[in-house]
Amino acid sequence: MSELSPFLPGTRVQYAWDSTSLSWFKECPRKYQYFMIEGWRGIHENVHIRFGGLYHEALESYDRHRFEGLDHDEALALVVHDALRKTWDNGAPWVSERPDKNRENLIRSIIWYCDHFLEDSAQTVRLANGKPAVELSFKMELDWRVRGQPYLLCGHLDRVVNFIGGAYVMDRKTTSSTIGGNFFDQYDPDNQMSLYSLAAKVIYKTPVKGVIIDGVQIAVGFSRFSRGFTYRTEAQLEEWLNDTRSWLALAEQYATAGHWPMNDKSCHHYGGCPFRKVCSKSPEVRGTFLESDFHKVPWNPLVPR
Amino acid sequence: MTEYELPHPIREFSVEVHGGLTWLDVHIQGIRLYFPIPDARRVKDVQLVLRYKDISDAEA
Repeated sequence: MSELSPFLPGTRVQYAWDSTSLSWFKECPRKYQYFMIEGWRGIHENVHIRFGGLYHEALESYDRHRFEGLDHDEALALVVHDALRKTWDNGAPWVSERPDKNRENLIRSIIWYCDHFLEDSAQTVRLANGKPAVELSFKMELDWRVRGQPYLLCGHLDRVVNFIGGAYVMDRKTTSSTIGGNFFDQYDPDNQMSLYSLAAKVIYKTPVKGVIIDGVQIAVGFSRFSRGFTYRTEAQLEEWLNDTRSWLALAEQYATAGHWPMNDKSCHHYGGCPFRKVCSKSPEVRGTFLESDFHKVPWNPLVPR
Repeated sequence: MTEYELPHPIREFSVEVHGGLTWLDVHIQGIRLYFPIPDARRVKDVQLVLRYKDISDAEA
C-alpha cells in the first residue's frame, strides 16, 4: 500500500505537519524546501540521529516490557540484546566517527538510564484500551483548512507518565554538553514541546500538566542524567496554535509561489545547517552540489513510527 | 509565587538563572530535577513553596 502524501495532490502545499517539518520551516524556508519539499538528506551517516534513535527505541521497549510485567533485569537484557543487534553492521560492530556517540557508549547509556531510574516515581500511564502509553503516534485535525483539506498536526510521544499525581508527556534527549538549567532553557518556548503538550491534552483527553525531559549527557567516559520540566498554560497553547496558523499560511504562500526564501541568519545555528555549503554556492551550481553530497529520503509526518 | 509538589522530601535545593529563565535544582533519590520558576527573573525575586506529596498515601 502506498504511503499517504503530506502534500495536497499535485501541489507542494503541505497539509500534514509535525514538529520536525514545522521547525525546518520556522528556521529557514530554504532549509524546509531542501529537507521537506525535495527530500534531501546527507549521504554520510548522521551519528546523532542514529545514536538518538537507537537510544529512544531501547528505552521505549524497556518501558513496554516493564509495563507488561517483566522485571528490570529481564527487560534490560532484552533491550541491550536488541541494541547490540541493531549496531551490528555487515558482520562487524558499528564504527562511529565520534568518540562519545558510539556503540559502547550507547549500551552503557541504556543500562545506566534504566538503573538510574529504577526507583523512579514516574510510572507509565495505562490507556483506556489497557495498553501502555508508550510510543504514541498522533494525528490531530485542526479547525482550519487549506484548499478544503483540514490541516493535520502529527507526531510521536515517547511516553506519558504519572508523576506526583499528574500526567506528563515524557521525552528523552541526548547531548554531548553538560546538562543544567541552561540545557533545559531551550525547551521553553519550543515548538516540539508545545505541540506535545497540546496533543496530549487534545488527543489522549488527559489533563497533562507538562512535559518531562529526561536528558542524558553522553561523554567519552560517562553518561550523566538530569530531568527537566516544562509547562504550557492554556493561553500559551492557544497562542502557539494561533502562531502556527500564521506559519502554515506562509508555507502555503511560498508553496504557491514555488519559492522558499533563504533565512541567512539561521545558517550557523545548532552547529550549522547541513545545507550551508550548498546555499553558499551560486544558485546555478547548487543542484550539482546537492546531488553530489545528498540523496533523497523523503520525510513524511503521516508515517507512524 | 511558584508552588511544586515533590515526590520525596529534600534536604536542600538551589536556584539557577540562565538567559532569563530561572530553575529550581533539586536532587531526589539520586535523580537531578530542574523545575522552572516562571515568575522570577532574578534569584532574589524567587518565591517558592515546595510540598512533599506522599504518593502511596495519595493513591490509597
